[in-house]
Amino acid sequence: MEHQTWRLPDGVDELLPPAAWALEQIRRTVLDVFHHWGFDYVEPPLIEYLDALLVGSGYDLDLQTLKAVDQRSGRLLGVRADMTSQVARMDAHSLKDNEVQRLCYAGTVVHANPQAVLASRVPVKAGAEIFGSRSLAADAEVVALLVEVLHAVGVAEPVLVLGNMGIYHSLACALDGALDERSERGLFAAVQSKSETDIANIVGDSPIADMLVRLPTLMGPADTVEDVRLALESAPVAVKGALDSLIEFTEMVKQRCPELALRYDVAELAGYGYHNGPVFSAYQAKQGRALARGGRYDGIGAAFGRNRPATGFDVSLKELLSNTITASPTIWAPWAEGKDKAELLLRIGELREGGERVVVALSPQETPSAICSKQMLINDGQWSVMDIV
Amino acid sequence: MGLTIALNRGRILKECLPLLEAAGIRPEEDIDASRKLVFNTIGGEYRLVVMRGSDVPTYVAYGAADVGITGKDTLLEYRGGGGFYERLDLGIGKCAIMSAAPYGAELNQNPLRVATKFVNIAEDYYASIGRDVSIIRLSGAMELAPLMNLADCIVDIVDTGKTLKANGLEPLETIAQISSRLIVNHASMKTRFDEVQSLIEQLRPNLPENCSPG
Repeated sequence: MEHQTWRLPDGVDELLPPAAWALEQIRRTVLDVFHHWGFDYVEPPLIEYLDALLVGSGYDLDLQTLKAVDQRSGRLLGVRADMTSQVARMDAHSLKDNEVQRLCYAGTVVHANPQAVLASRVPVKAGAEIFGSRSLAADAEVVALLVEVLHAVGVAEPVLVLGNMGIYHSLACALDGALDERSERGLFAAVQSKSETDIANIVGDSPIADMLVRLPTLMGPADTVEDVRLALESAPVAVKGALDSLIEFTEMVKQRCPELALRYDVAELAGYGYHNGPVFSAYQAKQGRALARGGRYDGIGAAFGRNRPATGFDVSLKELLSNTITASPTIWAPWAEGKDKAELLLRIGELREGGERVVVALSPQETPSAICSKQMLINDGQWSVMDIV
Repeated sequence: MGLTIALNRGRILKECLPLLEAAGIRPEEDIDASRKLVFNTIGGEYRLVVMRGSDVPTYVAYGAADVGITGKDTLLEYRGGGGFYERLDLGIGKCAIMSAAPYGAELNQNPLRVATKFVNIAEDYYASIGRDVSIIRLSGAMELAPLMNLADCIVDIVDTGKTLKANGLEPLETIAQISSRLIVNHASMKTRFDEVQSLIEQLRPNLPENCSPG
C-alpha cells in the first residue's frame, strides 16, 4: 500500500479557516476575561519530567499521558495531558510568595487516548487557579469567573453542577472493613457512573453502605440541596461537614450568579483524582460532554515543597467552537497600477487601521476570493468600498 | 423534542418493550415488523432508535441519544471512556459472563489460550487473578474454539448453559453477573434532569424485584 503521508493519527485534528481563527478568538476572549479578573498569565512547558506531571493524580492521568525518554537525563518525560499540576508547581516552587496567587494559562494538551467518542486527542485548554486561599469564597470566585467566561464566548444558558468530593471520601472511609485498592477503584468508578447496583455489589450491607448506594440519587436543582441533609441524617460528622460546605458553596454561587441554572450532584466526582473538596462542572444542552471542570485540590503543592490550598478549573476551548464560528468580513482590493495604486495603498492602510480586513490582489488576473463580501472600486480616481453582488 | 432512547435490537428489546409500555412509552408501530430504525412514540414524548447493543454506549456517550438500554456486558466491554451514567438496573436480560472449558480439561498451560468476543472483560479478569493469557478474538460460536484446539478455554455469555453442554464444555468461573442497564448521557442528566428523572421514576415501579436499590 502506498504510504499515506497526509494522514493524521487517530483523534488528532487540525483546524482550518474559519474554525482556527474562531478558536484563537475564543482563546483571546477567555484570556481577556481572566486578565480583567486579575489572574496572571503563565506558560507551563509542553513537556516535563513525568513524576512532576503526575503528582497527586490518579491512574487515569497516568494512562492519559504520552511518554518519552529524555535523552539528556535518561528520565521519563511526559507530554502534558493536564496543566493543573504544572501551575501548582509554579506556585509552590517558582513563585514562592505566601500571598494568594491568581494564575491562568491556555494551551494545547495531549491525550494518549481520546477521552470520549470523537473527542480530540489534542484539546486546547484554558484554565484559572487560585492558590493560597482555603476560603469557599475562592471556590465561588472561580465558579463566577467560569460563568463569565462561558457567557463571553457565547454559551447562552450553561448548566453548572456543584458537588463536594469530601462527601464520597468520608463515607468510603467510614465503611466497615477497609476496601482493597481494586475494590476502592471499583467503588469510585461505580459512584462516578451512578450505578446503584454496582455500588451495592461492592459495599455490601450496612448503614454507611446504604448511604453510598443512595449517593447517585442525591442530585437536583440548587434550591433543593437542603434535602440531602435528610438523606444523610445519620452520616458521620466528616460527611456532614462536607455536606454543610456544599450547601454553603451552593448558596454563595447562587448569590454571585442568580440567573444561572444551578444544580447540585453529591456523586459528582471530578476527573483526574487530585480533587478533594468542592468540585464543579459546566454543561450546555445538546453537547454530550462537559465544557469545563474544576474544583479544590489542596495540598498538591507539598510535592513541590510547599503545601498550598488550591482551587480552579479548566475549560475545553475546542468544545466551544460550535457556538461561535462565523467568517470574518473581508474586503477585496483589486490590482492597480501607477497613480491609482498609490491611492489604493493609502486607502487600504486607512481601512486596516480602522479595523477592516483587506486582501490585496497579487496580479491583474486574480479575482476576489470566496471569503470577500466587499470590494474596492475606483470611480473618478476615488477608491470606495462596495458590496460584491 | 423529547428524549431520544437508544434500544438494543434482539432479545433485550423484546424484554424491555413491556417495561417501556408499563411506563406509558409505546412506539407508533410494531418495531419487530418494521425495517425502520427510528420510531416515534404515541404522544410523541420520546423517540426510540434501534441498533446493535454494542453501539448503544457510543450513541449515548456522544449525546446522539440521551438515554440507552443495553446489557452490562456491553458496558463492561466498552472502552470509549465513559460519558454516561448507569442510572437503573432493569433486571432483564439476565445472564452471566463465565469462563468454560472442555469437561475435565487441565488448564495449566502458560499462557492460557482464551477465545472470546469480550476481549477487554477477559483481559481485565485474567489480569486481576494474575494469570498469563493469550486472548483470541472471535465474533461468534466461541464453543467451537476449544473443540478445534484453537483455544484452551472460552469466555462467553452463559444463559442456560445448554450450548456449553451440547458441545462438551463445562462452566468454570463466573466473571460478571449481567443484566440490562438504563444509561444516560452526562450532559442530558444535567441539562434535561426533569425529563430524565421522570423517565426513571416511570420505569422504576415496574422493574423485577431486587433491582435498583433506592
